[in-house]
Amino acid sequence: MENSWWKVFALLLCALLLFLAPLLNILERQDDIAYNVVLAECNRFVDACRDTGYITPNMYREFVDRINSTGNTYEIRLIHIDRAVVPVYIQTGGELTFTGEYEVTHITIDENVILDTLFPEGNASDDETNRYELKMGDFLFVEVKNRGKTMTTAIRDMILFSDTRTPSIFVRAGGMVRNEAY
Amino acid sequence: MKLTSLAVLFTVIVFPFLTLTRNQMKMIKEDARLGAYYDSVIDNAVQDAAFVISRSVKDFSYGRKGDALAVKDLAVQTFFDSLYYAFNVYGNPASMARVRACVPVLIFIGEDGFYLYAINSYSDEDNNTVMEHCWFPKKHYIGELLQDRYSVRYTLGDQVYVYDRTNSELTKGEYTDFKDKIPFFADRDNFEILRDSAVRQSVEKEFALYIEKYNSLCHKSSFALELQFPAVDEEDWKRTLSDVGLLAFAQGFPVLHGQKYEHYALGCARVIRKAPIVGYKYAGQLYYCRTGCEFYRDTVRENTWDIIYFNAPEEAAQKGYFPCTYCRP
Repeated sequence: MENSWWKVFALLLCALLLFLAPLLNILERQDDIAYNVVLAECNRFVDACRDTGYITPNMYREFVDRINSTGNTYEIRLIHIDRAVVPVYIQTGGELTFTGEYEVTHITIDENVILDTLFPEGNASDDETNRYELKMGDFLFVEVKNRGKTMTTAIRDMILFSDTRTPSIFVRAGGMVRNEAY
Repeated sequence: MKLTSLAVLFTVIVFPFLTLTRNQMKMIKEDARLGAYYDSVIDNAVQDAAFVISRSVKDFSYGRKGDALAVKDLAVQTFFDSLYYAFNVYGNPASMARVRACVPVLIFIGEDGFYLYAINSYSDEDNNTVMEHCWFPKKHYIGELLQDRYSVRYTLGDQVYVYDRTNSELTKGEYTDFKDKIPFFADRDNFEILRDSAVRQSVEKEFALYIEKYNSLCHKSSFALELQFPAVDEEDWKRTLSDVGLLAFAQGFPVLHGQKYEHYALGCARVIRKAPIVGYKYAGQLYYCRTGCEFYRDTVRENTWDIIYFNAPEEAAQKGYFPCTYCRP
């Protein structure tokens, strides 16, 4: 009896060491490569947008294609922060008096607005008219994280009996828009 | 059975070591990733600030002069805004303070002086001790004493203020105005060496003084973090301290492996000194080149062949000048 338990244990260990461990190792390398690709593509896309001052449907589509070529599915978030300079008034009673100062305000524009401009409903996508334009001095960020679990996380969770909820690939890139080339 | 037992024993012995090294490798990798990420974020923020500086300075050349104070505030605000958004903490005061604490020193390099924007502690009207970024007073670029009597205040351009110690006279002018009194100023190269070293030494000295202040502040508040003087490359100093710009020193962003994160970023807005293009006439033909060109330095300048200055290669080409065959500008 003792012998057979010992055999089962050895078999499990064998499976773990001979199959799962190398597989996990290979998949981890793949995740690394995917991360590097996503990082490079994010930077490339966001820098292109910052240097031109607009996003075209083709630019966006190409970016999505490129990161999807890594084999994972991703959640992409575009963040456009609109910068506006507004004067500061003080209200006393019913009257507004100008303080002589100004303030820089930031308004975060929802991703849906950007995507609706890029891909309007019932409209054949046209690169020129469906362009989303940014202002010089605005901020543009793109955030990419993998949806669900990558293979690596799934197998590691299986071995360790855990449930990882944090994305294994997460990239946030961006900065200020430097040009208005439209 | 013997073999499986042996295999299990082997695994039991080797597995902990393998796991340890693996985890260590993972941490090192993660750290490298984080470090690169922080570097890119800070470099980006500094570049954004430099962009804003060059944009506003260009704007106020249309008449609104003397707005340098507003420009430095704007640059710093842009720098931090860029950082906040990059870390996605805008509007979250605690996280924003955390980010600010990791960039204890910013130096704004102005045209005729520089300002430190650094963490300082003071007591407010309710006698609470406040620790936050403050502007330090403006410092000038003071060079070494020349001829044992002239102390010179440099600007980033060609203007200098010369103070004569023997008769206590302060005179302002282009450096060439003083070439009779100070022989170093007869030659542009010599003047530039003197000016660059003066700018660099003034900034370094002020920064070193601040580090002492900051570290004593930290000791009083029993913070573990100590500021160290960053090892900035010679080339980087030269690149940044030649024009209006911003220097940021970042320290203490969280990393996994215990090794401290340290980074400096230099952003330079080329507003005063653009790379000058020189035009000259050689054998009846018009050429333009950069001032660093060897042929220009050795031959053209000696013979002064109808030298004329341009702002950009396009401008020179429009006047019918060909690119120099030596340096291909």
